[in-house]
Amino acid sequence: MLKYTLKRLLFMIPSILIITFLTFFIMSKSAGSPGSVALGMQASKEDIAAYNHAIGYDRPLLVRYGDYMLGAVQGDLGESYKAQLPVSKVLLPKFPITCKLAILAVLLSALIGIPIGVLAAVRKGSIADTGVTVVSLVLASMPGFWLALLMMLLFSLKLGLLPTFGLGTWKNYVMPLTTLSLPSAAYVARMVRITMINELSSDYVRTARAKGAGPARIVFLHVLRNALVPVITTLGMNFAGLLGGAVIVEQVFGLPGVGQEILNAINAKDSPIVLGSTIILSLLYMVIMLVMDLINALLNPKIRDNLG
Amino acid sequence: MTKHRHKRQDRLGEMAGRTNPVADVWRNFRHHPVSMAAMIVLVAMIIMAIAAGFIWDYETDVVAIHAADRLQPPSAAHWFGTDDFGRDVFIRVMYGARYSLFIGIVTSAVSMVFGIVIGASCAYFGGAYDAVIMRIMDAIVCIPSMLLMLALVAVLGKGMKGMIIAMTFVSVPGYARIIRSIVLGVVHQEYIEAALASGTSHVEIIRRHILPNCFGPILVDVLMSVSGCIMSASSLSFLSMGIQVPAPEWGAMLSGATKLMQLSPHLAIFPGLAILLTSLCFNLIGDGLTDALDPKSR
Repeated sequence: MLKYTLKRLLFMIPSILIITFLTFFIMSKSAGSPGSVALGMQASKEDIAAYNHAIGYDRPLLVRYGDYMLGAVQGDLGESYKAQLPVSKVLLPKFPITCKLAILAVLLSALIGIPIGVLAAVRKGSIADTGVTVVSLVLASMPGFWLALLMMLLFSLKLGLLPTFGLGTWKNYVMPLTTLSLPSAAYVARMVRITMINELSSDYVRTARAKGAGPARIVFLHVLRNALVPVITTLGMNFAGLLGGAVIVEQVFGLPGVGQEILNAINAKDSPIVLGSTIILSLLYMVIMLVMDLINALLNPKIRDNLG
Repeated sequence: MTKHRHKRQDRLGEMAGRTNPVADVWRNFRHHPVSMAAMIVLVAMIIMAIAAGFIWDYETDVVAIHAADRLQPPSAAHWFGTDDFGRDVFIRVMYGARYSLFIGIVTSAVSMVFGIVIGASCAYFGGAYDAVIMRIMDAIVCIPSMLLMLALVAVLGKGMKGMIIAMTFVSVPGYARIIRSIVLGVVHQEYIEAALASGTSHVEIIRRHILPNCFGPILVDVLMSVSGCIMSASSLSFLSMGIQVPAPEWGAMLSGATKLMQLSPHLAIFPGLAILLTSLCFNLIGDGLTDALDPKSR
């Protein structure tokens, strides 16, 4: 397993090179140059050109890319055009809020989704099962921001229970967390249900039953363990996705997290911030996926053997 | 009588090993009441979207400002009420179907074509070509998709074209991966080797033998992805990175409604219901098709 882990870590290097080059290329095509972003609209053409020359922006793309990567390897992600601060200084303070949201949302979706999925699978065809399927389909067809707006309408404007905006008490987290975790809980429930139903009709379950194992023992000890493999992968993907993809929820509820910072940077054409956050988030994604695969390998000897 | 005869012919065909897969799937699908209902609703919506352009004039009915009718609640005259510019929300929601359906279907179809070309060629040729291309696809998947779409839209320009290109770029890797794995399952079978040995060209083998086998699973993915695309498109427009106001795109309409929710909650409800209904239809049809393709899985 150590060899496998090392191999996966090594494979991240070409991936990161591809990702950074792609982002570098995309951002270089955007209309603004660092000079025009840093000095503002009123600056003269000469000033902008001088600024660009001073930071070496007038060199060819590949040279700049090489330069950037040399810095990035040493932990230097460049300087924000707008804030004139190192990228890490701008981004790092935003991570705690987003991480808190992402971790809680993933935990909640697992805590809600897995039991409901198990229940639906065990009572396949019952009213409860149909209900789970219907609710999860509806939630899967609903954009997150609309769910957020509906909750705001009900809980803030009609009932006056929860604040709509900003950070403060735990109450500020209720609606953002629900918006993030409910659709993913529904997805997890659906997935657990389908895998459990498939597993329940497999040979090893029949053997266990023949050997006298009770239904609880079969469900929790044998089946759930196998049914969790795709769920763990999904939860990992969700977590990684939430770190960068909570843009909309952060925007709707006015939470100053990573997503909002990225959105602002994209609008301001502040490429170093966009590049830096892309590198951090994609690296996180790859590491999280590796950890999830390792967890799966620990849970399931068959997968462990395949890793070699 | 005719029904019986059809049945007998089907059975005869089966015995001769000549079943028509499309007819089989359709027969299974028809017995799926919810999916059939979704299909009917969707067809009605497509007709509505096309008809909207003939019934209402974009300049006078959809975007023109009527100051006297501002923010009216739903009534007999304005079924879904009016917005802060006095525009009829019902007309705008109906007209908005054109954007969402068009963007969703075009993006999914284009991504599918790219995905088929990339995935099938990777699986078929293998080797260094496969390794390099799939590495690039995997790398793109690692970038949070919302971030990548936003960055692409910022470069390509806000609006329909930029949004479709950005969404396609983000969804191609997923397709390429799935199609590659499906094709890999088919490509090593003996009849392919036999066809190769008898001198059939690569393109012909991919077209005649490989793609028909992938048709079902890919179709399900496309349907599910239309629903995903409709939601992504409305999210981008909600963040004012997509279709711009005053165009009646559902996400853009909801974006305008956020400031007015206290006064006029109806503005935040109807466009969202339209998104929900549309993507629900695609998901339900996809579900029914999954069952129809593999009735045992139920």
